[in-house]
Amino acid sequence: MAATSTRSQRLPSWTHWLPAGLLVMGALGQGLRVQLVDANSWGGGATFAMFADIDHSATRYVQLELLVDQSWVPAALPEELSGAATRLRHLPSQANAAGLAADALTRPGWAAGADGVWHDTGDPGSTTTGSATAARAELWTAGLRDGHIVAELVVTAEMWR
Amino acid sequence: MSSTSDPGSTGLASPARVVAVRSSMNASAAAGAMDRRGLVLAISAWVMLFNAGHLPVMVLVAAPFCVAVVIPGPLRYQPVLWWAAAAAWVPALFLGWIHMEDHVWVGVYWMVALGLALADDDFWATAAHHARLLVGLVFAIAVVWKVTTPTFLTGHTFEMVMLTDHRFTTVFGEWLGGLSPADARHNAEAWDALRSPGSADVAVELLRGPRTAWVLAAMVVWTLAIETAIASSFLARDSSRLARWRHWSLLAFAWSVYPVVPVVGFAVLFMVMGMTMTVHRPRWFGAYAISAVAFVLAWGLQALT
Repeated sequence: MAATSTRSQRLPSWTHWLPAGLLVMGALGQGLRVQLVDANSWGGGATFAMFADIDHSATRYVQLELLVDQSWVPAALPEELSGAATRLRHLPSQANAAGLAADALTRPGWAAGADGVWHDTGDPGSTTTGSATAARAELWTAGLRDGHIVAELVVTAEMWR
Repeated sequence: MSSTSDPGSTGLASPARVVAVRSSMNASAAAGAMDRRGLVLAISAWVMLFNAGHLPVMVLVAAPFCVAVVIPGPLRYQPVLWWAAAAAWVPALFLGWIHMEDHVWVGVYWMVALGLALADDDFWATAAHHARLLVGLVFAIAVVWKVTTPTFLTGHTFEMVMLTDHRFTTVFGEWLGGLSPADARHNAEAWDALRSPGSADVAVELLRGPRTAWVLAAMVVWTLAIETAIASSFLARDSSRLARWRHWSLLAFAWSVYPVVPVVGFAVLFMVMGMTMTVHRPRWFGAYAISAVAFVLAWGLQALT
């Protein structure tokens, strides 16, 4: 184009390293988060560590439990809490786990299913929430050992009424 | 040059005629390079529109930007347009970081690079310089992660990928590894059971096919070899012998991965960077362009099925 062909212009030499420098800084920043706080290494910030570690957001999963009548019962993760669960899988922390447990405790209604798993009904009329005195959120990750898939607890938090 | 001879002439071209023909050839080559520049810019903008799928609100930025670049005109050659678009992505990269995969970040760095190239006298030299560094660094960092991660070196990471990613399950687990569909289903059910609410914290056996161990070893060795080849050849000086392997290695990597796992945001980005580096080498340029189209088609086929 004329706009470029008629111009005689060289950029400052530091610009030769600008995109590469941004890439290295971004990779170092997210790499530090992976090393220091177990952030997801497969995404969420240009680490380029995909397919390196077995532990990443897709091999991490969240388990939810409610304390009902003095017993911990398993609960299915409500769809409305999937965003919080995703955040916990990407950035495991006590605060994120506690936030998820607190959100679960404030859901309007829970009911026990035939499989023994409690489900969020969203209906205060069918609630047994009044008898759920606490909620526990756990983040697990899967590993392989001696040909077996094994689960390892990453972080857990409880919230009480 | 043979092309300066004319069948209708006496065989001796006059200096004025040679100059005219050469001038015409140069103009033609320049026009071709111009077209290719527009093509490279348009593909790059389209990649960012595709990347907006990670955070749909970014369509509001990526779509107008893509329109501005795809429509021929002076606007798409303005560096400030590319820098402004890159800047508009920055809040999304940080605030929506959970949704942003690596290639979105590299796409933003590439927009910065293209803006710099457009602001420079020599678009192709500058763009190729940045493409070379970005590709080389991506793979260099990837290799560092892999050689320092024990589960990668033992093949456990790929074995888990075969379990959790159906694309790997079919091609590498069943077709190459010899895992029977029934065993693959057993593994998938074991993985689902482990994650189901209230599952017991017990170890579940993962079944293997007769060639699973060989496939895993091959995947580890191939991945390390090809990524090291890309990193070293792209980061080597142009005069280095290693530099000869740049396009072979990048295309070999791409064709070994993206037909099975068509990560369009990365695949097309790498291909357009390769095109940028080979604008004066039509065969390589064409190979990159055809590959980009093939990977988009692979993605489309998988999306349809």
